[in-house]
Amino acid sequence: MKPGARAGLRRALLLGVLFAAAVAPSFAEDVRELTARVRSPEEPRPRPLASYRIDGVDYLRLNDVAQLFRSTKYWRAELEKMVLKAGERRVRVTVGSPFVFVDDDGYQLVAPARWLDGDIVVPVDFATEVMDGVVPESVSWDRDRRVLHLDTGEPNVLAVAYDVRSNGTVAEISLAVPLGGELEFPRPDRVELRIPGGVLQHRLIGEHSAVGLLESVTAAQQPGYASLTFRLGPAGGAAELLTRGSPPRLLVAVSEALGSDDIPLPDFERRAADGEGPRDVRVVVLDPGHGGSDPGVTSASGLAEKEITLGIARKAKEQLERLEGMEVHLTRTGDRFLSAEKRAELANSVHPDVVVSIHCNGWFDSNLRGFSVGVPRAGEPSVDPELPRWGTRTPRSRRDTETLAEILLQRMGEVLPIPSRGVRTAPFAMIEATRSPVVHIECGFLTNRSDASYLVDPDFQTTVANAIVDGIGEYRRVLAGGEGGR
Amino acid sequence: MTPRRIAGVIGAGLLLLGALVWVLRQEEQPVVGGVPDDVRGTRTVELFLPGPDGDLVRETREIVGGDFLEADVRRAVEELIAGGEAGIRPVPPSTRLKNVFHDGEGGITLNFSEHLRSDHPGGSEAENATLRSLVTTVGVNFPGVDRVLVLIDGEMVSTLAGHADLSKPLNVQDYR
Repeated sequence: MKPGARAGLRRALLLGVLFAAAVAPSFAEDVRELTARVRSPEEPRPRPLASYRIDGVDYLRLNDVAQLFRSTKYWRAELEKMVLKAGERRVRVTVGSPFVFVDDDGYQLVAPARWLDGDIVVPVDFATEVMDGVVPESVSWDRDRRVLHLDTGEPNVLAVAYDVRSNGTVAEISLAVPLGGELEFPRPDRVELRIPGGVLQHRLIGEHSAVGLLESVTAAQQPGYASLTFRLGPAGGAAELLTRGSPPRLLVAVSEALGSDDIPLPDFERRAADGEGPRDVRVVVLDPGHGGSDPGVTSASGLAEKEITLGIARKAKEQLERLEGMEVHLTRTGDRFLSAEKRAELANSVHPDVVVSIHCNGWFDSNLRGFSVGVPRAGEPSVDPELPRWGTRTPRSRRDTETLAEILLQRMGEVLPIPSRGVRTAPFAMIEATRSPVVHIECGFLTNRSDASYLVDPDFQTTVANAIVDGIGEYRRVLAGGEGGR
Repeated sequence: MTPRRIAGVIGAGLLLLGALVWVLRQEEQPVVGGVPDDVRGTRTVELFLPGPDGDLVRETREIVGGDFLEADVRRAVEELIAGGEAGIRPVPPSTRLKNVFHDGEGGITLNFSEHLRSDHPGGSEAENATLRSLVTTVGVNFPGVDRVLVLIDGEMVSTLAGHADLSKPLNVQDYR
């Protein structure tokens, strides 16, 4: 072999050895792709999250971390450096380095950031140690279950509503998650509810007027707990805390100062929930949706929602008066525009036992169909004077609303030839400003050809009216039997 | 030393010097807050769009991100107007987002063109989907925002399709 050829062979061998030395560790690595999850209070079910275990270290994709913490990513290719901008903070990660910088502060990760299948991956402690100090959330990693926990610090004490009874007052505190509470009595005329881990809905903070035996409530956010201090009126004396789940609530039951230790709180609370025995349904308000300049949804044939709803309401009124002997009011009897506030005002003015708002639905395409019964959102912040549209619905009124909605859904389902979409939350101005038990009925989709063909048919409208009449009649009988509330 | 060798040494020296200058220039880059203002990055936003059954579904989009909240909110809402994989557009495609204002205290105002109302199909289900899409998308992606006020052509309106109350800002928490 010539000397030149020998030199070439040596160089090739040397390059081969160097290449083998470079790639050998990557073959030796133990890289496993595992499914992790991310859990936060705002998400009812944990979401999947890609994760990897490389030589015993758990990694996450940097893109996923950036997304989780709503960061803007700046990629500097020449330095293989990713900068995440989270709020006003900048976090710099360099591929191949275990050091990351948050503005001026340096952190050392348990292992370097690195490439994996075209993505930059970072050890989990980047999320739990570095980003934890950058974002509002508290971040933790459950290695065994492979769950990344984000505690968002979102409000979990949502609203306060009251139920005034003949022998006391119940303050119902709606929670986003089950929380415990402790009652303190700082002064004879004060009851303080402390909720460890409670984060107050912002609009609750401050002093608000209350009702019944409670003169006012002052809500304050304290480190580690939420505080609700109730000022008792002259008649209020004893209080007890009750915890309820599904939906999670805390009840502060306050009874009159009897000068006795024998306070019938369990019975008091039971009667507050059950509605104190038989009741009657005498006054009904029917609200035909839309009208005047607001036609609502218009069918392909040109018939407007406002005409259909008025037709159904008129038929139902006539039958309720004739068959049930009820006093029935319509919010409009002709084709005129009424704002949602005006409709609620009209309804509230006659102190009805039941309010039914009647509508036809619409959707962006022609696929959705079916009828539904809507109920107001739970947790009305009735203590907030700046939000009058939410009304002052009591817990009992909400339970009655749910009872009415389920009965009406069942009655409609028995007679209507279109599918049921169930009981749905309806965050609409008219029903949320109505104090009585109230539902929002959607009789079908005018944007769906099949539903629309029924809705424009007078016979179908009569069938809907009959179902409403039957439902209100059954609801009346349920209340008369003392079964109101569930 | 032969001239050839001298040239080689000088060449190698120049190469080394060049490499040194390059490294030093890299270090001179502003390390802290090292993103120049005129450089815009990207961020992933989650859009909440109506699915085929009417419930909202999540979709992610990569958008250009910058230093201004209003600009980022605008890009996210414009993605929403562009619609999702299910093909259902919660905001009529003819709608233009005219302005975005941030009051610095958690309130965002979205000022849309009249098409938001005039081209909306109506119905409580569609109206609720439109508002939930907007409020949830803004609320989830921009955590400092807790209220969204919807204007049409710069005017406050009582409602979009006759059901929801738009005369007040919509509370993000109420729509989650």
